[in-house]
Amino acid sequence: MAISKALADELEKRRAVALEGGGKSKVEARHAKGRLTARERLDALFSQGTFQEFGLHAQHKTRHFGMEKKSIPTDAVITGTGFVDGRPVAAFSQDFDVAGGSLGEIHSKKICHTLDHAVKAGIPVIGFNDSGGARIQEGVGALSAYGQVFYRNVQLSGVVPQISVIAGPCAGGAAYSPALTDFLIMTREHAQMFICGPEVIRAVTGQVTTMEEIGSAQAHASVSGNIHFIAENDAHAVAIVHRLLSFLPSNNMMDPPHRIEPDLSIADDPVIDDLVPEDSKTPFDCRRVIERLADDGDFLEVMESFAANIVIGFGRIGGMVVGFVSNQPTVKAGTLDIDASDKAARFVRFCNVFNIPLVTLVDVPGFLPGVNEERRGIIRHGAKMLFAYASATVPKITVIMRKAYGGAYLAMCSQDMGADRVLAWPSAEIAVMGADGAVNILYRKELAETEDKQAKAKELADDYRAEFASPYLSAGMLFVADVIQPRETRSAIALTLRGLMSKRETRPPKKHGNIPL
Amino acid sequence: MKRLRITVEGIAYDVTVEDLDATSAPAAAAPVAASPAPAARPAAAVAAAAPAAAPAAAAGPGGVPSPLAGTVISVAVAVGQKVSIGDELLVLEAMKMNTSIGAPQDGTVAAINVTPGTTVTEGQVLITLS
Repeated sequence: MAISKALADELEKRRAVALEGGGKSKVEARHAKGRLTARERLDALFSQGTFQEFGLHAQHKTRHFGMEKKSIPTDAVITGTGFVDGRPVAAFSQDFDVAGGSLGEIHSKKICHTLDHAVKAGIPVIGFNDSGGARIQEGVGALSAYGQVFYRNVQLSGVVPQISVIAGPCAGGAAYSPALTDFLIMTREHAQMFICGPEVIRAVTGQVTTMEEIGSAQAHASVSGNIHFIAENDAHAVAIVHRLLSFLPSNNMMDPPHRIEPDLSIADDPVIDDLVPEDSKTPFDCRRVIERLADDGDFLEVMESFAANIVIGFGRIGGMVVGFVSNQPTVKAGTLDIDASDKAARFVRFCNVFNIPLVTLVDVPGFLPGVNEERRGIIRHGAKMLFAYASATVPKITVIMRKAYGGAYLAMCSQDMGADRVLAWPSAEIAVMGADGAVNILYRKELAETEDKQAKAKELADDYRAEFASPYLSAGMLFVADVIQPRETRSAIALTLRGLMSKRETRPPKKHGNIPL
Repeated sequence: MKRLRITVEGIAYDVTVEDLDATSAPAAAAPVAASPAPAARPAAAVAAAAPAAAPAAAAGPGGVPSPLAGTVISVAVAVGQKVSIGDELLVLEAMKMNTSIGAPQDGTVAAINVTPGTTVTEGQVLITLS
């Protein structure tokens, strides 16, 4: 007794056709460019032998424009689940080699099934985007098919992590699916993302531009802020996905993958003392501090080249996964501007929704002054920082390294925004405004009557700095829990985090707050 | 041909201007009919392209713009000096902090437009590299 050979053979035949995808010549052309096929991307993502496909035998159902005679294996998208580091993960991978990876109703149904499954199973979902766009032959059905995906991206947001890899064209409406996800990784070459391309822009507005300028990974990573990582190639993109997943929980009801050792190391790290310049005007790279704080110096920076005046990313301290947010004094003096506020606020909200504690490092002279900033709305953008921190209920630890002035001090997770523990270094300056500005207001009359205004102003400013910006003043008023040596920072954070593992904070029930967007 | 720098709202644009009346007489004598057309086209293209290109290449080729408003504290290079990408060109004090301005590319310092004490605006060209 055995299954009929004819039936078994038919399955193998059908499998072979579907697995061949776009055919040998297309695969070879792709490999010649150093790119992976849709299926190879999933092979790279999942541990070997763990991929379970959904919809290998899918076929489109278009009956117009001669499409009824055409077979589109898998309907140009490969979907399913597999394991990454022993954890289940869902994924879809658009196959550009099959019908240009075009999205029709069945293609969309497969993606939607993947997303629905991810939310039911409570597992992250990874999408490889490589598609020429809507399948025009399917008309408005294809448009609706996009809508179905967008709707689910939104339902999944904040429930399971969603990561998008842009590995080819992703144009027009198609760009909005990845845009709705948590992290976007784009390959440096062969990938473009835009709403209106250079030709359309030129035809409508007369503006001459290039794909490099508006749709490249470089442009999105540094100017538009639409993506979070640039990958050198497909394999690197998958490596970044793996790195990201190593810090993320599978869903919003789980803790991130902490690696907690029973014994906590509470040794001082004198290297951090040396990283702090003696002169408060000398900048230092805050990433050096983060690398000393993170276990094994392992820090995954997110949005490295966008709004570099603030640094965000993931690491672990004493085994616990944390999200770092730090002002970067080497760029724009570490000021908060519109882009920096947007970048940090979204990151804070991501961490909060996925139970990742926040470690905020402060060296901020204030919000960036400027006509453009005011006119473009630094008020509503800066407000996002306050909103994000104040609404976050995860453990929040703040270290004031040096400057913490005015509204920007509050925005960097001050105690008033609900920080669980605020620590300050002896180099901290915490004040309502800079000493020079404060003196001009406080001593306006005296200064007007003084002969050598500059000398007097400097003297008064020095006094103000020593007396009113001192961390001991804030510590005396309990805005700062403790003043610590930089060398004590790592162990202080590790201890605080460990003590906050069971933190519970509930807020009045509501649909959602109304964050200024 | 004349190279000019035009500053609009603190952002400098390097433009090349050709005075058709003054210079074209002898050279353009032969192809009279052809000369106005090609001359007119680049001019129109520049006008259309300028607003689009402004944010990306604010300072024009070689221009090093100030990342934020502040006061120049020190200049580390001299005209004619060769610099490599990342080399410190000058230091700016802004927002209670000294910001080091590095060379965005390899090149030679063609012009230094500021001296210590100069107050600069965001986008202002500090140094031009060639």
